[in-house]
Parts: sequence; structure tokens; C-alpha cells
Amino acid sequence: MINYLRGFTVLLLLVLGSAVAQEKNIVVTSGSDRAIPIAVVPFGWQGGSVLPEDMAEIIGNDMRNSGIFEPIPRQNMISMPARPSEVIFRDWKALGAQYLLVGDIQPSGGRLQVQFAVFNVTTEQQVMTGSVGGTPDQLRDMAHYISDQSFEKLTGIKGAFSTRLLYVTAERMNAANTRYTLQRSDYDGARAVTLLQSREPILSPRYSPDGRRIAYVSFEQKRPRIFMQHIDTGRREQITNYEGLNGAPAFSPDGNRLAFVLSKDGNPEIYVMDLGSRQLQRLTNHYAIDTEPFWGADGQTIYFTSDRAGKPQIYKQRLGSNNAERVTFVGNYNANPKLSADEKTLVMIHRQDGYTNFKVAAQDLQRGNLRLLSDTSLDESPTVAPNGTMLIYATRQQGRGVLMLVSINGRVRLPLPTAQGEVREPSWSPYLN
Amino acid sequence: MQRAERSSSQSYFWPTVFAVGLHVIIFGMLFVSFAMTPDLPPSKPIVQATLYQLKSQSQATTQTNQKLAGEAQKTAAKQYEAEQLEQRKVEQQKQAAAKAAEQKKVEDARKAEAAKAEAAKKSAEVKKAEEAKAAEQKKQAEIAKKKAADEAAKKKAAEEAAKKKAAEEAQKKTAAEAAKKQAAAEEAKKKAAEEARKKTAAEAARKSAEDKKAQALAELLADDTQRQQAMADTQGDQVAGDFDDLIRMRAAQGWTRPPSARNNMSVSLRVNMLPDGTITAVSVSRSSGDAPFDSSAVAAVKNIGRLTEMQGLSAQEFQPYRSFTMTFTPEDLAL
Repeated sequence: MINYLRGFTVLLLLVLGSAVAQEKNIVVTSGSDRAIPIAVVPFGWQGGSVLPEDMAEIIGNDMRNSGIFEPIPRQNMISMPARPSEVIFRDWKALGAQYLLVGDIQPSGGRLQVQFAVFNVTTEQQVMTGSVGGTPDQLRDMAHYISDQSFEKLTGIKGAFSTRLLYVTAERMNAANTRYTLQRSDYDGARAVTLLQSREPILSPRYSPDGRRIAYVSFEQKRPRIFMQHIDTGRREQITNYEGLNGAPAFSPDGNRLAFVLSKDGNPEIYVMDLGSRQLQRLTNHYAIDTEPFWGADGQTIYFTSDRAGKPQIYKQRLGSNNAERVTFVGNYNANPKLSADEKTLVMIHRQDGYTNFKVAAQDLQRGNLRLLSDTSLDESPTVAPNGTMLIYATRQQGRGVLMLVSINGRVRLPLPTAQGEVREPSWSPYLN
Repeated sequence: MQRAERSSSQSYFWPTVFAVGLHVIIFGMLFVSFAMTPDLPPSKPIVQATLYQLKSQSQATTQTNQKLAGEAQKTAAKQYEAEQLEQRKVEQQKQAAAKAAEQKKVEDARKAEAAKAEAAKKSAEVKKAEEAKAAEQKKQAEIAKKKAADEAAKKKAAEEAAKKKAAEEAQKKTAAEAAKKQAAAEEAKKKAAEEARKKTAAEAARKSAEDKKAQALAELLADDTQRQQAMADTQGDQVAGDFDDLIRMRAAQGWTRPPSARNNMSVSLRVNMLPDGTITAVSVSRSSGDAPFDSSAVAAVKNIGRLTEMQGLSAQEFQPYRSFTMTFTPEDLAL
């Protein structure tokens, strides 16, 4: 009896205790499908001459391209503060802005000094403040720097707006003469610089992990051969000179090895070369075509395209292993694998069953589900930003090869402004800062 | 000797524990009953009533919106259907509320009459308590018969009794008894309803509104049915559910997930709030392991800003919101 009562008392006390200690937990399972409205106010400028670049516009475009923010149109702005003291939050609440970015440019002895600040309009608090300096022709760099800083502060994701793009252009001069160039530009297509010019095709440019070297395939000897080039000095060296196809170079994550495709043994297989010793190691050995290697972040796994099951699909294989594991199962064509940096998302060229269009698709590697990212057809060569928020691919518009930028969440799709002629084979650099 | 001591201490130990336990329970019950019937200042009952009515309406729509938003992810058609259904439901609710109000009016009139009867009976009883008892004993058989008779007859009898104050004592008494029983039954009904509602403010407002006009009562009742509907939807506890939903909705509106977010990832945040609805501090108490995901949730809570709606809560009702946990776990992502 006493035991029974004792048990009862303990139970009672437990119930009372838990009732007191139990804490409110509110569970949120859904989110907004809207981009976050941000107001990037035109920067203040006290100097006499007109600046060659509009920093606020560049920053606003960066924010929009990420697919996470939506810049508020300039013509809707009620006030245009340049300094934190001039901010009236009521104006920005009226516009529905969530964040506000203001900046002020001051000339200082031939250079420019930019002070900027980011505010949370709802809480009326300053989120961050900073400054950056540079010469007038570094305005774009400064703008991308401010974008990077603000983006990381607001999202926790490192900004990738200071990265650079590689791509190939082909300009047809006449029937017998086409000029191919390898270009390097800002990620948004601005400020393109020619790294190489040739009368023969250039293919598959790729950055090294430190962003200082590039590898590409050039037909300058009338046959495809892999070259490596130092961006700063322009010094280049030939890496391969094997019989048949030499193609699709890809630097390993540590930058010491290069994976590529050789057909010297009959059909295309994937090889890995140690760049120091020039030792060659064969990865795949299959009568089907194996191509387009892409390194996993561990430096031990290679994703590649193979038609060993009849149609091109994506496989992965560990170095030193003979087992290729199939990764893609949806659609009748999956090729050109690229992984996001967190290795959660696989981006590829995809063709749905029963269709003839090639589109860019993203697949969740944990769950396997797949989502189409492009609304164009004949898409090729997707390349993912190092922070995984954006991707660029090549496609055709009005019979011309162009580059398209898409946010990974699919909210933003826009063509990049690039030079004349055909543009193809884009490749995104790693973080350069 | 030792044994005796031990046994005596044992014999005192458990009774003491029970006594303390009993006191704790009784003390706790005191609080429970307090929470159920806080007395609002009777000077401004109507203001209170309208205020809460507005709130409950907004919460009801809040819930509807949230549900629809959830459905929208699945099918647009479903959403349309749900909207239509909801509209119909609201219309039905309104009709039901109107009916209920009318019924209540009728009932109230009856109640008033009954109360009159009761008052009359009471005065009569005070005077003739002794005689009443005697008469009751004599006329037990009669009373039993009357009991068996249906309520309507009794009511009529009661009304008649009320009108004919000079009627026979026995008749008067039986009628009075019937009225008393009816009143008691109604009281029980009322109590049961109150318990079901458990809505402190609504009840308080109702109490003060009881001696007001029937129109005010109807308004309140309409409010009450809506609240009941809303609460049935949440299955949450009392007031809290509604404000939980409000916070949930505001956070969801401002939650933009990073590309690394995946369904079923989960981050728990500790949130501190002031009684004026200002969120003072947000910190990660259990990380998802993905920094961008964590900070997206923190930003969503910070971006709520101030929930002015919280200002309508009493200090006791607000207590759980001083510091609480929010868990963000997406279920609606495409990837």
C-alpha cells in the first residue's frame, strides 16, 4: 500500500514538475517562396566627374542573381540616403523592403573610398557596416566586394560575386576562317579579357582550385591536346600528346592531379595524371565511352558520364577501384556532371524520357529527386558557382550561342551579356579571394 | 527501541508527505481556478469583448491562410476547393451563430422569467419555510407525478406560479421547485459549456454582458462559436494555440531557405520576447549542422520585428512567450 502510494506521489510530482518545466516549442515547416526584398540605394558621390560604373546597380544585380534577394526598383524609392544618419525607416517599410544597403563614395587623392552600411528595416537595426577603397577602374571590384560581404552577412553563405568565368567564343570571319578565343570575365560577363586566340577550336577550359592556372583542350596542332596555362604570366605547357582523343581536363581538389579522357587504348577512358611526376593512372576500363570527369571534394571520387548502360548516365567511381556506381536513373540522357561545393546537388545536362530537348537539371544526391532548372533547350556545359547559389550554362538563342545564368532555386534566369559570335563552354572559377 | 523509533518516524513520514502533497495540489487548484475565471474590470466589458472578437477572427483567418499555403504546395485545385469549402464553412458558421444567438435570446427570456419565478419563490419560501416543508411531505406523491410530467408542462406551471403569486402554497411550491430545477439544470449546462470553451476572456466578458442587452450577448456568442471552431482546428491549448499560429505564420512568411536547405533538416532556436511583442534575442540552441540554414531561420525570426498582437495578453497568458523554442524544419522544399 505504501509502495503504491509512494509511486502515485512520485507520478504526481513528475506530472506537476513537467507541467511547470514544459516549454513552448513552435514548429515552422514551411517558408516563403519569395525572394527577400532589398533596397540598394544609389551611392552618394561628392566628386565632380561622373563615375564610370554604378556601384549600387552592380550590387543590386549581384543580389538578384543569387535568387535569394530581389532589389527594389530605384524609381520607387522615396528617399535616397547615402549615410546611416540619413535613413528614414518609414520610407523603406512603405516599400516592403526587408534590408537596406546604403553607401557613400569619397575621393581621396586619386583613389576612392567607399563607406557602406546594411540595415534590417523591420527591426530598424544596422546589420553591418564596412569600407573598401580602390582606383576608379576598380569600381566593379569594390561593388562585388560589398556584395560578397553583405550577402555573407545576411545569408551565412559566402558570396561568390568576385569570382571569374572562363568561356570560349567562336567568331566566323569567313568560310575558311573562324576565330576562337578563350575569355576570362567577371562572373556576370563584364570585363572580358582574352587569354588565348586560335584559328582552331578551343574546348573545356577549367580552373585549378587556386584559380591561378587553367587547363583546356586546344586543336592548334590539328588534334585535340590538353594544355595548362598560368593566368598571371600567360606561360603555358602541353600536358598530353597521346594518340586519338585527349579531352575534358579536370583539376583534383588539391590541384596536384589532372583527370582527363584519352582514347589511346581504343575507346575513351578516364585517366588521372600526377602533375608533378607526370605519372598516368587509368581509372575506367570499359568498352563503352567514359568521359567528362568531375572530382568529388574528397579527392578520391570521380563522377563521370558513361553510356555503358546503353544511354549516357552519370556514374561515380573511387580511385583505385573498379566499381562504377550509377548515380542518375531519371531520364534517358544525363551527362556533364557538376557538383555543388556542399556535394548535396548534382547539376547535369538532362533529357526527359520521351523528349528531345536537353535541359539543365539539378538532382538532390541524398534523395535522388530531380528538378529542371532551364527553360531553354539544347543546353550544355553547366557550371556551378563555388557557393552553389547560381549556375551558368551555354544554350542557343536566335541561332546564336549564349550563356545563361540561373539561380539554383530557379527564381532567376537571365542571359549574360557577352561578346559577338558563338559563346560556349563556360567554367566558373573557385573563390579567388 | 530502535525499531520503535523507526516505526514512529515511518508512521509520521508518509502522512506528512501526503499532507504536503495535498496542500500542493490544493494550492495548484487555486491557480487553475484563477486561470479559468479572472475577473476583468466590469467598467469596460464591451471593449474587451469586441477586442477579443477581432482577435479571434484574425486568428481564424490566419489559420485558414496557413493551411491554404500548405495545400498550395500540393495542388492549386485543392487550394481552390479548400477556399470554397472554407467560405461555405464560414457562411454556415455565420448562419449557425445567428441561429444560436436567436435561440439564446429565447432562452434568455425564459431564463429571466425563471429567475423572476425563483425570486418570487424565494421570498415566499423565507416566509413560509416551515409550512413548505410540511406541505412538501404531504404532497410528495403529487410532486413525483409532476416530476414525471414533461419540462414544458413544468415551465408552464412555473410561469403560472410566477404570475399567480396568491395561488395555493402547494402549487406555488411545486412550481417553484420546478423552476429551481430548471435553473439548476441550466446552470449545469452553462458550466459544462464554459468548461468546454475554457476561454477566460470570453467567459469574463460573457459574465459582465449577461445583464446587458440580448444583442450584445448574441455578438459574444457569435464570437464564441468562431473561437471554438478555431480551437478545434488547432487542437492547441487555449489562447496559446492562436498566438503560436500567429508567430508561426509570421516566421514562415519571412523564411527564405538557402540552396543547401533540404526537407527535414532541423534547427532549434531560443527566442526571447518582451510583453510588447518585441523579439529581443534569438540564438541557435540546436544547430542543423548547416550554417546558412541556421542563419536563415534566425533571420526569419528576427525579421518578425514586433508582434503588437501580443500586447493583448495578460501577464499570465504571456508568461510562456517570455522565452520559448522555435524549431524550423522544412517540409515544402522542391529539392
